[in-house]
Amino acid sequence: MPPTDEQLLIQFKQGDARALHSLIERYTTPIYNLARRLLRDSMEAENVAQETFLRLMLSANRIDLTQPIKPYIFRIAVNQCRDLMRKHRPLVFTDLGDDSAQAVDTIVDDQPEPWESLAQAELETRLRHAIDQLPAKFQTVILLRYFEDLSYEDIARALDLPLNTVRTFLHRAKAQLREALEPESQSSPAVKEGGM
Amino acid sequence: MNQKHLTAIEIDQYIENELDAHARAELDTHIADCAVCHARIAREQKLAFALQILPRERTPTDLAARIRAAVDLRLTQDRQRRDRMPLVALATFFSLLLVVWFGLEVIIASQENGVLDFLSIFTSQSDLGFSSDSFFALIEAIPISELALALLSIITCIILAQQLVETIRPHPAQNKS
Repeated sequence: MPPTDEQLLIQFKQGDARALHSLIERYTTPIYNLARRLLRDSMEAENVAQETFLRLMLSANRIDLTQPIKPYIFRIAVNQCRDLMRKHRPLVFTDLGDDSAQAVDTIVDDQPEPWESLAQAELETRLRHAIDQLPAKFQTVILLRYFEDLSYEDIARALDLPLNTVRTFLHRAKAQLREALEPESQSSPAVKEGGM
Repeated sequence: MNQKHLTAIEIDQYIENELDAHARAELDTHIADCAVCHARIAREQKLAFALQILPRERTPTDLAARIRAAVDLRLTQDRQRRDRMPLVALATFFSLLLVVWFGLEVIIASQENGVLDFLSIFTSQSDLGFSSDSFFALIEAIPISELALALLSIITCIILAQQLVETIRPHPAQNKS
């Protein structure tokens, strides 16, 4: 059974550099993927991945090992992405207003949606495009939840958000995805290519 | 429960396995009886599944190796920094002793040369007025070599103390998360 992240970090704190190497092997791809999708720049994504582990290494002695460190690692990465995005695209991470928690608990339409009948390849293309169109905060929760399989609690820890806000973000993100997946709402060339 | 359709929040909680066993069993009962909610759950599950299986970005093959190398380099630098610490601390201590030593030398030489006397004449007997002779006498009385050595030892001490603080203090990046 492979050691847990927390065990690896303890080993690293005890002087075993290979333990940190194992963490690097484990999380380089997820962090690169997250940063690449959020920043849409492979070079910056590589820098984010590298800086994440350097910061993890330097802050190892301060990390609370009673909490899972996976959200902490993603938190370092997300914060870097957030800083970079603020430089390039201000205000993309602005909070939702007070209305954020409202209008969520509604009953949705029970009619099948057109995207449900799409072929897998076309669905993938549209979904990828739809994710790219999401605001960064929604993109982040979608990526952490479905790409990295973080629990709601871990996402809340990683993004330093209340649990209910994470729920709201995820709900709204999925609603926007469904809306963007409607064939008539698609107009980009990428989508047209996917449909061929 | 069986009379009402599930809310969006309930569906989310069901899909994301956020419910306890009891609440989930209640929803299961409703979903089994309600075609509308069953269809909605299936639709949400399809979206969640589509997201989960979406192909990931291709990571550069050598990225992990490059990160390992960068981390190892930083670890080596930190180790070297820590190894230097006793030496820097010792040097700082001796430079502090030199500051005290040359400081005392300056005081003693000033007293021997009568610098304080010249100064007191300047300050207390203003009726004598300023004269270039008394000014040059004061300059000659100042122990310049001792002062220069004291100044150099102070600068050395400050530089070494800075290095010592940097050696002990955590790296600035530690404060970021």
